[in-house]
Amino acid sequence: MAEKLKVATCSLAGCFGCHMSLLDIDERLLELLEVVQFDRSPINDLKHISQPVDLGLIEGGVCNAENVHTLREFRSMCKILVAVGECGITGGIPSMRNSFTLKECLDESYIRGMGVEFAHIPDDPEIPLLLNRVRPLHHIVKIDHFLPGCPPSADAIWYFLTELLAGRDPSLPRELIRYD
Amino acid sequence: MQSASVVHPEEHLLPILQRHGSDPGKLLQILIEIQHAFHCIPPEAEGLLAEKLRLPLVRVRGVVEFYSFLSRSFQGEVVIHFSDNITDQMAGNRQLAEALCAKLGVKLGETRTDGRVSVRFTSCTGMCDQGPAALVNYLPLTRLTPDRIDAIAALVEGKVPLEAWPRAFFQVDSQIRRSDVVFRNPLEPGVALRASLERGGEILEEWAEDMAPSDARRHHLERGGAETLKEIYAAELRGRGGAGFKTGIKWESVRHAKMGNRYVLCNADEGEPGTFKDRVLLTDYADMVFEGMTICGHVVGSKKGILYVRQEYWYLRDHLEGVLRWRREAGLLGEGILKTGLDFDIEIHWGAGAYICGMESAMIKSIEGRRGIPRRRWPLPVHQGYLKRPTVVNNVETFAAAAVISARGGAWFAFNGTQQSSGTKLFCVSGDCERPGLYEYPWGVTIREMLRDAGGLDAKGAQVGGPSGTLVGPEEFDRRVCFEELSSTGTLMVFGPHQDIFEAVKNFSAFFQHESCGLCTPCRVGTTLLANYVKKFEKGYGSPVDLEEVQLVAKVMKTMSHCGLGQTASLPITDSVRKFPDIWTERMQTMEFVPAFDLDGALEEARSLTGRTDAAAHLTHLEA
Repeated sequence: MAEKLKVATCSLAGCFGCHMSLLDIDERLLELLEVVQFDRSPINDLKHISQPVDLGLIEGGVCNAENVHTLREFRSMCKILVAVGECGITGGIPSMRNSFTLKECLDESYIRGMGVEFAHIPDDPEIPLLLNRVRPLHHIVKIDHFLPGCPPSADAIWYFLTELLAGRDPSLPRELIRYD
Repeated sequence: MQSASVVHPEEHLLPILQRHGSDPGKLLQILIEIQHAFHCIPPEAEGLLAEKLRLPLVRVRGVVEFYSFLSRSFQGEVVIHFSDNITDQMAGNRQLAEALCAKLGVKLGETRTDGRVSVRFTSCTGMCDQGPAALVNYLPLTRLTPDRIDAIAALVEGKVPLEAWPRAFFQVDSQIRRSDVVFRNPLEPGVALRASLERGGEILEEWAEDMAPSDARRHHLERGGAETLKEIYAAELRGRGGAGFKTGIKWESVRHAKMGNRYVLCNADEGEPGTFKDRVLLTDYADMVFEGMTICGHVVGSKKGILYVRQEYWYLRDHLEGVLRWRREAGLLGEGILKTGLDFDIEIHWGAGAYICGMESAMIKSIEGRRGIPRRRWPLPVHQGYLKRPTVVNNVETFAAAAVISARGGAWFAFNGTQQSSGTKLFCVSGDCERPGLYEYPWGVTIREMLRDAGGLDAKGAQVGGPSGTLVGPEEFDRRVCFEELSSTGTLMVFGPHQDIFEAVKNFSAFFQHESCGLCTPCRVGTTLLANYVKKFEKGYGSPVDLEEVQLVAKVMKTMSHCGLGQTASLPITDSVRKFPDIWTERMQTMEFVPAFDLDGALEEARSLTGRTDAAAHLTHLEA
């Protein structure tokens, strides 16, 4: 049997909806596990990629310094890097804060927010600093493929993965990227 | 001149409306007059126009927001627009604009708080051979220098009315440096038109007595039109606006169209940066242009012509109206032209600062008083053009050439030029050369010949045919300019040995980004993506990865855009990547992809909000 394809996944500024959609491929997961092996992923809770892998799937945009580090780790370890879902591709819902300044956002949450006590903006070094704007993945590193949808449907993910595994161009057919 | 606050609709707006007969098709013309009177479109005006012209308010507002010379906010008593073509830029327009802003204490693009003045940039104003140029209250200022900027600042502060500014500031020269057979001398007015009419047979004396329509007259016109059309075919005249469509075929299609009420439109929108031939033609050869339009009216059976002129040439208004008036008095326009059965008159429509309106279907929309957005290609304007009627749309130079063809004959005209490009062509030469100006050459002239005549042989490159044309390096200077080899609208911008071609590419990509009408996604998004990539390289953040992306975006724009603007907007970039790769590679500080913005700077706000300075509060630009 040929060596299994190594896959890593993670969620940055996302909602894990894309990962839920991945699980939604249902019993095909078993089929998938025949040919791929998961490295770092919320599925197995590994915190770092242990070795160079073939494929990285990332959901969510980039909102803070830690996201940047994670994304860079993926870029350096993954042969093919894929932006999965609306947030990874455009910044998505989290990027709605881009129409405000960071100060306005933090003031709203930590200074003036309802029920706030000991109002101050958290400054613990353990907490990653926020970027002034939420960015899509391709603003930070080179992205090889974009898998659209919010989230991409289980069928779209399945189609994308199987085409990629078969060594073909994983462009999605029209019916998988129609949302109306 | 009133400031925006004192608008009395009844008193100020109704007379303008009445002058235009409350015609909704004149919406743009009415708005231009309001803008000139108030230096903005007051909110009261939008409502009043919607009501009186029976148009939805959004239609009115949509037009106001589309054209860059119309504005909803007050632009100041004195509005100064600096021309921002690359030739102006090479001549130092940026420094001049900054100096003027500093002297006047006004921010670029904003109206001074006392409402006296604003300073802005606009796309090329067609004064490239005598730049740096600007417009002050829509009138051209040429040959700007630091001294003139000082003087202008003083005039503005001293509240000196424009009429009292030194005339020299407004001087526009034609600078015809070389003329060939077609434009050697303007034709005597009426000669070409009479020739066209006499092809139908003798113009009978007794017709003058009784101007009633008759079969004899009709047949006379028919025959004459058919014969003149043959001359246009024999001349093998092709459109001078750039696309080079055969004029004979276009005219014949309208002549044979089933519908009546045909129109002849002359495109003097001349927005292609670096082009100013129409300005010279309308100044020195206006009679020939109008005569060409009238001859076209004769051939295609139209009674009405419209000249669409870009507003940058507003200063020509009195002159053009005067020529039209004179021609009417001389019996060359109006009813019963030269005592024949030919009725034809010409009206002038003005643009309001939109490059896209040089595209014929956008121009038609603009003349109809709408936003200048290109429509789908079919049906062609020759079948359904202005007001859905059969319409000829030709360039200014094409009509002038048609007049000469009628006077001298098609074979005479076709003697010059190359196999597929007959006749001569006007070339606007500007940039780094000793003798910028207008040059007439037979088609097939090489770039080197033009550079030699203009005194710019040491050029490191040249832009042929404007930003949507071709960028060439010295190894291509021997190429011939003609439709079969290197086609051109007739523009040559010369980049001297000390110039950085990258600046030209940046200027052109910003130009297309600004001028995209926004209708189709490949162009609207593509022009912005390309302009952003250029900025990325300028900041030193570019890499080979980005150049690959640029090529991909360019390909999508070229193949998927709705009209010529989007299809050609990527050319300055793709041409320069191929012909001047150094301007891109020397700006690459990395072979790896890096962000287009300062990544560590993006954390600055958070650092100052939290007061953190630890190592984790910083990011490197490249991965460590």
